[in-house]
Amino acid sequence: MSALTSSLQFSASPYRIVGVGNAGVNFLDHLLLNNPFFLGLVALNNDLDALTSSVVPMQLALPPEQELLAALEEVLPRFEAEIQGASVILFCAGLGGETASTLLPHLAAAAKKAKKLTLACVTQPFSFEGKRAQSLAAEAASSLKQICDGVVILDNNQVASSGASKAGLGETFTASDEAMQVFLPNMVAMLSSKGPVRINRSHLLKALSRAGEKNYFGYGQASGSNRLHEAVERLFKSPQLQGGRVLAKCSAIFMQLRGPKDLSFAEAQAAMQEVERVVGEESDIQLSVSAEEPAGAALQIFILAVEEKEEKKEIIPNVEKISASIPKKSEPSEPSPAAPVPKASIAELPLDLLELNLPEEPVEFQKSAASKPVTKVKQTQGALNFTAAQRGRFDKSEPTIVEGEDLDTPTYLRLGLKLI
Amino acid sequence: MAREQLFVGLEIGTTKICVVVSESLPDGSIHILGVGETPSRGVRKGEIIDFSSVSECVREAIIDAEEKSNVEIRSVWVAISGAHLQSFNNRGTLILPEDHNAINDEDLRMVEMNAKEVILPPSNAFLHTIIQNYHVDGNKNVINPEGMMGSRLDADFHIVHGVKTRIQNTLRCLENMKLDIEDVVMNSLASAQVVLTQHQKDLGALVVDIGGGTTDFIVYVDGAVRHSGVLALGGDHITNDISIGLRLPIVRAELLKIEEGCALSPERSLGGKINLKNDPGFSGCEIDRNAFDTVVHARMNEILHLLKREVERGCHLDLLGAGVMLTGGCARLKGVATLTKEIFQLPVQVTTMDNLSGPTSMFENPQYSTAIGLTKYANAVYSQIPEETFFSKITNTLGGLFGRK
Repeated sequence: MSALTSSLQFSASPYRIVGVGNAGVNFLDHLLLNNPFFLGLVALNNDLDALTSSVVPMQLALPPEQELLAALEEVLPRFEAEIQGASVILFCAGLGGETASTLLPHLAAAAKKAKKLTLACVTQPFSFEGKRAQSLAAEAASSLKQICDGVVILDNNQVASSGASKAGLGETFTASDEAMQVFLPNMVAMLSSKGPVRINRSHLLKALSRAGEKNYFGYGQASGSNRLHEAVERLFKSPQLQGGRVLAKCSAIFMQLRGPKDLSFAEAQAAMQEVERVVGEESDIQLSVSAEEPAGAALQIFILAVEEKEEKKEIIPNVEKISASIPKKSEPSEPSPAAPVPKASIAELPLDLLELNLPEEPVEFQKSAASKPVTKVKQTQGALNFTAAQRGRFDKSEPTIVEGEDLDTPTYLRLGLKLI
Repeated sequence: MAREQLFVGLEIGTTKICVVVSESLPDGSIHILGVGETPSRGVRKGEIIDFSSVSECVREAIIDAEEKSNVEIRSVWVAISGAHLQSFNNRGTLILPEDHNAINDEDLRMVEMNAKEVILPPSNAFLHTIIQNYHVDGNKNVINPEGMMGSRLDADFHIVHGVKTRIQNTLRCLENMKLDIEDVVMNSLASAQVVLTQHQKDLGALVVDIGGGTTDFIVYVDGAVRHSGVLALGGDHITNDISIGLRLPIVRAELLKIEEGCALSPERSLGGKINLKNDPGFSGCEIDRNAFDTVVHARMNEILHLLKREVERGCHLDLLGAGVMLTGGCARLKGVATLTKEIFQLPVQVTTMDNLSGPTSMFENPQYSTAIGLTKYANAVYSQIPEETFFSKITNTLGGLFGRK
């Protein structure tokens, strides 16, 4: 997994990636360990032991869970100081825990109030974490959707299902960390793409801000003469994409192709054709191409797809419950999730937020990642891909995709027929 | 080897590589002299994935055919398949000058060139340009306009194209064996030569060749090819599904499919258990027939529904008066004709090959229809075209493919 993001170069930090809670800080640690040049990371946690062992340079220690809301008045100004100077705030956290689920909507509201482009990338808890965690996560996700410009929710259960059924608990959590480790840098790169072919940020935000949507992403990279084909093949083997099947039902697909300077027009064209072949030509695919990676870097392809679900029943955010416990504010203008900051339409966003101009000079580290005692994360062998395992003898052959379905997978499995 | 009389057809299939040596008889029929065959290695879904293995298999099949037919093979007609093959219909138009006497061979060639003036994907090359019918000054369905007077000549063609490098890879396997390649023919077109009569082509018929890795089809309406294509699905998929669903080794799953496979719905299943005996490396077991039938039926049903949809893209099923002809190895699967009939709502038959003589076991088996069809196709081409014209045509076809004249 280290190779996935190691070639990324981020020369500036017009954005902040804010990890909240244990999971959020874990995501940032993984990110930084694999790419020490990653800037603009902020860790917020009330687990002081975890925070001390974190390699994230900017840290904000939070009070214990029971005092969290009471101490908001103290926490928020410190947080606002950390995000000063940035124009994009990307929150990452694992919902379901008390810290992230409670605090994240407040932090997002503060960022939004400071006129930052506010995005959240959060994971839903594993089903074995219990109903309370699920309920907390649902409430927090709902609040975030109302506050943020865009929310990406990754389903941990889906990530876990791609692994072996007997995978250890640690491996399962690592899979979730790794998924985020792929997602975050690619999301940032997508937001700050500068090439001649780039994704319209307002379209991206519009897609991510739709209520009731479900997000999927996939990633593949490869080098060598057949790099594009191999990268696309790996992309569709990403656990969330299920061989590309899910893309067929997505209303918006954002694809990012990055590579060294020798990335050719034909490769970009072929990438589009390969993806169109799977998802259907009528699909709304937006492409961003960047050939600014260092020479010899792998060709990387990343897809973020948004499925617009039919809303059965809108979850009413229980922000009252959260706000009830907040101490009375002396000033009525204090931000509060109870009265979420009205989401500015994309057209109302300041121009500099929609078209970021990244400074050319790298920003210095506030705290060197190397100065921390780095606990080396054990790299484990990837679990066998579920979809690939079900293709049997066709595992290594070109898939037969019709309308997003991989027909090499046994028909009875795709139809859900039970063999008694 | 007398070119005028002996023809060799080579099919590099996913399951087997087959070489048929036949000779043409004065009555237009062909006599099979021998068939060489070897199990295929290195082919998936009709396309080569292991070049050296395939070359070796082709060599073995050629030697086998030479021994059985007592003929030294120097040139072959090659069948080709794979999902990369695509087709469309296009019309070419030629405005003839006022002082033009009569439509001649050159005009026919020009109108064909006009029909081929379409933009193919850069990686693709033309494989076939098959005439459907000519129109002379609005007079439709002219079979042969040569010698006719007219001011405007239109011609409808069925054009087949595929990825150039994939076609070349098939042919390169033969280069090391110093074999001349007479021509490359799409699988289904070759099969149709032996499984359809001219009457059936006139009535309208669909030929479905369900092989190991692919399902090839060709549609004839009013005696001409209307539609053709390849699905990258075949008997191997059934075997794979059985192997995964019933947890059997591939080899055992293949054997079970051949011996007990039935395409009919599991509701019509005989029920009970199928006893699999011990084999070296496989400890016997009992499997539930209902589960087995579910797996086979689900896949076969899917293939046929996809096929129906694909055929309907090019032609209305009501035009297929002669119905559906099933051929290829999977046509031998029990119940496949009944299932096809239910899906297509057309008369269906598993084909036998007419107008042939030789070892009967060969032409009664539908899995040899492509290789035998190749020799019949060759015979038809030879009998219609004068020798010098024919050779120039072949040179042009292959020259274009390999980039040499």
